[in-house]
Amino acid sequence: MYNLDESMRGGTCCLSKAGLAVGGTASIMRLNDPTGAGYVSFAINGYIYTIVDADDNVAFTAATQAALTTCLYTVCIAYDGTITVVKGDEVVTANLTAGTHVLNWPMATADTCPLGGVRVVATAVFTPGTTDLGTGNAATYYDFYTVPTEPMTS
Amino acid sequence: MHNLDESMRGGTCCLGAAGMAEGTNDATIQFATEFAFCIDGLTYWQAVEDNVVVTVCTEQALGTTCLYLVSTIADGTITTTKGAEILTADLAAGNHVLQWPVLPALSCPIGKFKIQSGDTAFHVGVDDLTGDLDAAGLVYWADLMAVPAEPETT
Repeated sequence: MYNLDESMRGGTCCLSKAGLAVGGTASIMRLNDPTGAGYVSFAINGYIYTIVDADDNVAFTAATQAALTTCLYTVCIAYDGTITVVKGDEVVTANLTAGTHVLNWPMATADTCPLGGVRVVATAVFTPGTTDLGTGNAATYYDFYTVPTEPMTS
Repeated sequence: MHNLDESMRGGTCCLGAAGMAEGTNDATIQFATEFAFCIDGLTYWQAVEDNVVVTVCTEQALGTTCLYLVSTIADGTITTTKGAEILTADLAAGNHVLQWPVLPALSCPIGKFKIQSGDTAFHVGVDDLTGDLDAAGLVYWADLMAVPAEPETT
């Protein structure tokens, strides 16, 4: 039996590529649908919703990340369009490079859909929402269908 | 418990219809519609594209029917995987079915085409998908979300 062969019910996933990227304000992110349609579709518990693209529409609120660490953040959206960010466990970048630690994606919060994620390699203290993305850090953006299961090993 | 109610993580599927059809150039295919696809939870995007090169498969014998699975990896590299060809007469008689090819690792299925060769052999990746089929030959197209669980019986 394949896991989607039974009648599909429920389900929480992002149905479009969200195009997560840095916003016009460099400390904030945005959604930027690459199709040009201007919105992203997502499902929560079987219901489908849309969120319209807008600059700076992903406020980056999370605890401070220490210098010389790497951390994954998951961007989540609730049915009403409220977007939040969940911080993962930060790992000393040297340990990641040495292969002694891995990076795990944090789970989305309850009743939200994961839209994407960002990986921040901080060379200086990184304060989400305050520190510019790309200044004293390297930010890489990912779009999600769901939260990936596999950790990052490098 | 419904089958999608547990925390969805990972996942590989195509999130839109690619509009697969014959390409303009000989032996190529096209994606007439842009679409998003996901591999292991990460979402990617494929633009409309004509003249997509098809993998050169082993030649299909005359009088047979065969499924070809089109898939992509994260960087957009397209692969065509040939299934097991069976005699069209056996398919029509209900003696055999068409099994789906095995999806290559770390790939997302996009669509399929099915070739019913006529009175001459057909070489996918070399022969033109309609121009080189003889009068008794047929090609069928379909877009996929995932590889269907059931074999084709016609």
